[in-house]
Amino acid sequence: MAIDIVRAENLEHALELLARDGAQARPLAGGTDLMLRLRAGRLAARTLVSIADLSDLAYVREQADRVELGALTRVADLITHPVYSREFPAGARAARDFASPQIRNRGTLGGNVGNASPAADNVPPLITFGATVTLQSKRGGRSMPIEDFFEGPGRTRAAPDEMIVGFQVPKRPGAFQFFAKFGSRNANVISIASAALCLRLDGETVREARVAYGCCAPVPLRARRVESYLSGQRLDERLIAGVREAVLGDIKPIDDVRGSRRYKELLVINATEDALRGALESVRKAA
Amino acid sequence: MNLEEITLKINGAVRSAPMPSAIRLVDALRRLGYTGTKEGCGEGECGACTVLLDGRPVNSCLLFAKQVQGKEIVTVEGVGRGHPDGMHPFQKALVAAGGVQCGFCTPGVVVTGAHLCDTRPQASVQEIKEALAGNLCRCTGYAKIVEAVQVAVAELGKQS
Ligand SMILES: Cc1cc2nc3c(=O)[nH]c(=O)nc-3n(C[C@H](O)[C@H](O)[C@H](O)COP(=O)(O)OP(=O)(O)OC[C@H]3O[C@@H](n4cnc5c(N)ncnc54)[C@H](O)[C@@H]3O)c2cc1C
Ligand code: FES
Ligand code: FES
Repeated sequence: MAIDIVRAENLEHALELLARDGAQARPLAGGTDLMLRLRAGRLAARTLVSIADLSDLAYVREQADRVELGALTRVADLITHPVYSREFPAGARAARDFASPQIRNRGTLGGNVGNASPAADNVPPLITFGATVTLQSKRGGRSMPIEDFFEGPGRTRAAPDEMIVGFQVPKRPGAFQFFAKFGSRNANVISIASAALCLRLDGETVREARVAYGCCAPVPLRARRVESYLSGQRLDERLIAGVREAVLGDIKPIDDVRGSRRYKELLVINATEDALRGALESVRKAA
Repeated sequence: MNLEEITLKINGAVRSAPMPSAIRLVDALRRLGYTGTKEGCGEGECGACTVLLDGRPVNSCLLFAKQVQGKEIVTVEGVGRGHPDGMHPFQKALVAAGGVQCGFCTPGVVVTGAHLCDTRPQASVQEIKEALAGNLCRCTGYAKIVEAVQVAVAELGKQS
């Protein structure tokens, strides 16, 4: 079956093409996921609407209380952007650990989210920052918390005529941020599991905890049990020792080619404990 | 299959031919005679197919040719343009260091490595390794490739 590629001139044009072709059309950004799906015969669309040249949607913009990210921002540009790495070191870390230089130069943030893989590395940190995703279609715009955007592997709440245009990421001044990815080597691997934490601390008390895991559920997972276990508590060895039960209550990893369920459980439990120890150390150092 | 005219700007020259709409850049380049670019894995893993797109290394096996019409593409054939003997100092250094064995990774290594020398001459050994992390080499063990980057950077420094 022949696939047609149509280059959108601007956002209006892209939305027009998506509205016209309905489920037959899909946005094509960097193509680093779509090309492989096309070649594996796992692409239902007949028309790919190329949005890669919509440079108006490639930006990192700082506002007083938040940072706005355009859907077409390349992963490489998240790493080098001074505002993103200053405000969201854990997000920049995830971007650095992502794929290879070549793929970071082409792959976009919108594509990473739109692909809806439970292994998408940029997503767990964005969940912990409380990011929202903004969708646009000819019918209008809407936004939702990023953790609500995913329905299952490869499935999102975006309608066929809707495109991700950007993300709003609230600043987290002074928060302790953490991201760790585990793979079979340091570069160019899909995560076996990943963990992100963003903690607002008041002395040694956890005022607010936001926690997310990759590859631990059919979608990138916001770990609400871990969050409520930690929130309002004193950060000490006893709290750290008890976190594993909360983690196991949240996650449901599966055995797959990259790792066993048990291995993934251990990875994210260890990562969570490491993050909490790191946070404790950082407040003690600051005191 | 319906063919359409696809026009690409390769190493400064405009080339065009009728091709399928969804042809990959790596296939389009090879059809147009730029056979220096190799396909290894076809999945973004190995980097043998690396070219510069608007001055940045990318995998041509993951790109649709149609998406990059009008953009500047540099293949391994174009890396040496403007240098004495038509060879980039990194290419010469790679030969001298013995950084080429079977040669399959070489076109990609040359494109990534020369770009690194040109854009980040201050890169540390760790940064050189990270910049080359998307280029797999089964033969050399990488040491000589890293060495060639350092030699070429020194050479470029002397020239400027
Ligand atoms: C070798 C290799 C290694 C990789 N390593 C990693 C890794 O370490 N971590 C990781 O997270 N990913 C990795 N990936 C996956 C991929 O590179 C990323 O998910 C990338 O961010 C996808 O972006 P793209 O612009 O290329 O998306 P595309 O392939 O263009 O699109 C991906 C999906 O999102 C949809 N889409 C794209 N843009 C939009 C939009 N604006 N609105 C709505 N839908 C949209 C598309 O329709 C498609 O379904 C890897 C891929 C390869 C080939
Ligand atoms: S052939 Fe493109 S990365 Fe291997
Ligand atoms: S020289 Fe053989 S793969 Fe690099």
